[in-house]
Amino acid sequence: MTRGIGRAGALVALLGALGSGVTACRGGGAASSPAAPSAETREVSLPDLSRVEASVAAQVREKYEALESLRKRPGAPAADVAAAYGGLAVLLHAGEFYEAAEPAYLSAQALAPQEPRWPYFLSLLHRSVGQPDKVVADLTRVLELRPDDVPALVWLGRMYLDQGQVDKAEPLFARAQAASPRTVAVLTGLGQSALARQDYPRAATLLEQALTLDPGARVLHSPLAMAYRGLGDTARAEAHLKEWKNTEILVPDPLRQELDLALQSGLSYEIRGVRALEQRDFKAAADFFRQGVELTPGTTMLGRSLRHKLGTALFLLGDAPGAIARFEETVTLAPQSGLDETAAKAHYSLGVLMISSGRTREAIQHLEASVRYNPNYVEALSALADLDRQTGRSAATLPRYKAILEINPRNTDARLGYGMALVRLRRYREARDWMAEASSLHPDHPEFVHALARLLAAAPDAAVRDGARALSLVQQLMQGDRTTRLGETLAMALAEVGDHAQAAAVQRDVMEAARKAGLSSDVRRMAANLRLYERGQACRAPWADDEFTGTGPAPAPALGAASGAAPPS
Amino acid sequence: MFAERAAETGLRFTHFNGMSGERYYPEIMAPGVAVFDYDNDGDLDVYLVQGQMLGPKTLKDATFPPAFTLNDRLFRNDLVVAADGTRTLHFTDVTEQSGIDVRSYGMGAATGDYDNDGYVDVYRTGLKGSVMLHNNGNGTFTDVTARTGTGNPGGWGVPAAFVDYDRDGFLDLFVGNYLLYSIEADIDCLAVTGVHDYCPPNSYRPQADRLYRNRGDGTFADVTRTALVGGADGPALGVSTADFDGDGWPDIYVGNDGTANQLWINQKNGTFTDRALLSGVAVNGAGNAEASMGIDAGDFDNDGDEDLFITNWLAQMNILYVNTGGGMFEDRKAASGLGPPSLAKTGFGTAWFDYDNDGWLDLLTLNGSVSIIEAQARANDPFPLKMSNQLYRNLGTGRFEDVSARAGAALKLMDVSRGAGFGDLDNDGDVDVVVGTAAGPTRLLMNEIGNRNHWVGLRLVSGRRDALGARVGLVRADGSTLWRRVRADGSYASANDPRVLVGLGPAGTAPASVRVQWPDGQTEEFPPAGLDRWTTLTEGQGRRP
Repeated sequence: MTRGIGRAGALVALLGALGSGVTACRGGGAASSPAAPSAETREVSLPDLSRVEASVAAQVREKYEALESLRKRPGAPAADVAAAYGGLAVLLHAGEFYEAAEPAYLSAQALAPQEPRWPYFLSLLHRSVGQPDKVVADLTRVLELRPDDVPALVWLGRMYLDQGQVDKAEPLFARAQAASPRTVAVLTGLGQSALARQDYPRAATLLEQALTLDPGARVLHSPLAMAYRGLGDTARAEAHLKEWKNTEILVPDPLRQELDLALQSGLSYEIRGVRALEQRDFKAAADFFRQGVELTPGTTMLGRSLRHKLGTALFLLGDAPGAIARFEETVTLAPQSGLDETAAKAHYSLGVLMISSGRTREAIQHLEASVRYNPNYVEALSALADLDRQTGRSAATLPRYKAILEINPRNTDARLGYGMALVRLRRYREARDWMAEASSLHPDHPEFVHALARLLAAAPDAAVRDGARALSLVQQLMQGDRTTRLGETLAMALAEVGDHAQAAAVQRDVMEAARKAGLSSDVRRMAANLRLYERGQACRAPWADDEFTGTGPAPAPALGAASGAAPPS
Repeated sequence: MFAERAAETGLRFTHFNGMSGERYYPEIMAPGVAVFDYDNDGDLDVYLVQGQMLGPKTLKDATFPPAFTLNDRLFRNDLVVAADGTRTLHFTDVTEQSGIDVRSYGMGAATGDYDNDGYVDVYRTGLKGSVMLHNNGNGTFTDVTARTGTGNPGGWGVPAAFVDYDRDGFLDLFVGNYLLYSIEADIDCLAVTGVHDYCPPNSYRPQADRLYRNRGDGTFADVTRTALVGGADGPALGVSTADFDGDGWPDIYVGNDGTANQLWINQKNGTFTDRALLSGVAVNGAGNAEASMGIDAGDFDNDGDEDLFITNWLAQMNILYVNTGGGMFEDRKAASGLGPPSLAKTGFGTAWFDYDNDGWLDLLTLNGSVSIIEAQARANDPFPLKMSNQLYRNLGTGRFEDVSARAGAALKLMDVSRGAGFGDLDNDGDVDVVVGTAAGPTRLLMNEIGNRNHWVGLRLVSGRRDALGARVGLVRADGSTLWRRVRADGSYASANDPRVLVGLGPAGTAPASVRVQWPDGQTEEFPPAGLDRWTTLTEGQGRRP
């Protein structure tokens, strides 16, 4: 029943604080600079660089001048000129100046027709601007030059799948599989081809293989569920859908990476850093963020966002002082009043760090500042409520949880927290009604039914207790996961209906399970209730005090032997 | 096929999006429109949603300083049909005499007669809460937001839909909310080059949608918590209500921008359960959530159930979910041919409608970017998000053809199109379209070819109001049945003509009979409806089978 933020929690919370940031990746303005076309090449016009970051403009100009200089040099090797065109194109492409990049790529391709890089980059560009026919032509050219190029095979297969041409897609994925048999993207393509053919058994097999290779590819649970749905196995489909998450199936793609790394701008470094964080490469992430910080003043939102993210990466590398310095710098650079997302996040991160080092008062100050900068910051409100609860200020938690529920009525943690605060405040009738309503609002969250059962079994207020109903609810819960805590509740309900002997037997089993799990403090608490049952008395404390104020969710091992104590029918 | 005739018919309105160079997020999200018959004179009037200045700057700082008052406008349709059948379409701005004085930053509109008095009311969503306008039946409206309790406080509402989900005879109200956003907490978003651009939706947290139950006494109860059980919040941009699982009760489909969509299946006890994932309509076939914008449900394959079409963001394809029965769907964007032509477009408003009256539902998508288009920026366009719209013809084989290139000059216009209301504005037997464009003029796309084929026009009335949610089946001579739905919702932040217009093709004959499944569960049969004219069918006046 308790929640809190320990060190592991702090890691998760800090990553959560990254959340959405200063990221958008589109656009540009333009002007033109003439370049003399040759018979094979196209005119390349530079976009308007007046509004782009200075570092970006400098990069583009440098590449452009290099190209111009090469073009003017008599006898310059075509391969060198092609590389210069391509280098400029990659940079423009990375800056999302697609119109300017395309003729540069085409020129590179014309000068070096045997080089697969240029049609491959063109395929990426044409994909970005939604020109599927050109993508197909580009990738076909790549495969003429390099028949076993796995990224090209996968992307071309995907293009054909998108166009409903499974017959063309499937052989490409098969070729990719021959070249790279254990690539998730390849197995996924084959699985989706099978799904498109409504060959559900094959689709299920292939997608299962892909998930086995990479359990983090949780997006695959959806097409896999569709395969099982097609096979009539709805239960398995639903089980997979519970695991679904909106992830991306990455194609191992060195040229894509080269493109991603081409541009030096604050935002591009931020994007790279976030990707590195997602891949848990904290050192690379810190390096990227640091480079972004060097390019971006802290007076801008992006600059503060980069500093905050650098702090997070440093913390994840174990450099807590460095992290704190960056978070404090972010806070200092933020506007002193008003709403500001970066300040909210930096204060939240500082709050989390203060919690993990036991500096509660400072934590509260930072978390409250976080909420001032962003009143909708659910995580900060939640952390404040946790602190209030842990320090016994239950009444203070109620408005915090209410605020969270106002923002998101479906927040189950806040709903549970509110109910438990009512219990702590000995407002048992309200707590019972709250938990009963929550149970109906969130039927997929058994913790509400469990809390309700405890109240019905052991609330000090006789008007709240209803042993028979409590027992019925527990029996219902016993169909699912049987934990020692559920066993304790079963014993409470049994005692409440007068079956003290059975209650004691269940409690002993539960204690044994807890002992085996090494939960000595739980065993001590359980022993007190056991003595009550042995004396023919019922429990009148649904939760012990330490269950309210703990700093983390107490592990609740499976009942094991206790599960043998079948509830009376 | 279509001709743009807004100015010549008097539908003169320019949307003001409040931009002044800051690139505030709401600038790119509005406006919606509503087509509805507010004065019960048998033709469709038009409600247009207006914006306001955003941020601390004044109107003189606006990129497009307005030369008009910034409030929503109501245009009355003064259609004249001469004895020889010649039609003269003209709109008159009746905002002042209507008493409508809505001056907040608007997003869209929904229409429905919530108090069953026989006059259609307007629910108008906005950046900071919504407004309910009660139609007084005498050409005027009264703001009853507070009295009805439908203000959606703090909500950035975009789509809304009236739906009698508990089948008690009174229209309830679903409001789709977008993001937790305020100008004060606006985030500066940049392109990778450092150029200021519009934010992607994941910059902000999604906001919970709301469901209001109509108590039947002119007030509504917010039943969101108790009725929408489980499920996660998403940034809603589209909503369509229909009986997706064929159990006779209306369900609610919600399209979210970048997160999984929801299919709220009606549990027939006042609650809904989100079954989108298992139904196959939460994410695309690859399992990815998409940036859903506009939505419509319709029986495009004439197999008797409701299929879904959703417009998406550039580089994601528009998606077609085909209902395979019992509320289970398959992603057939690829097989239908609808996907690839949409890759270069960001779609918003859309609807299933039979533009050529051949008996198969076609599609129009209203497009406009949400991020800067380089070529337009280079040409110094201050709002460089313009795209052309697209028309797709249903070939009757499960496949569609992009016929935009031959659909006329109206389909070549470059606008930042957003909402669209679909309906037969000149009552000539084909569906026209009113399009709201961000920071641009309202467009009126008049259909010039639909009535070359035969058609049947039906208004379905239950009590004194349009029977939203009713299904009508036209039993044809060969025994086959064309099913259509009475709906005003769908599209993007807009309200459509609730009447049903069914194309019958060039050799069409009047249907052998008409079967209606009313929202209260009753079924009635009516005698053959007249060909090439509008007919009203009233519940209780048919024959119970």
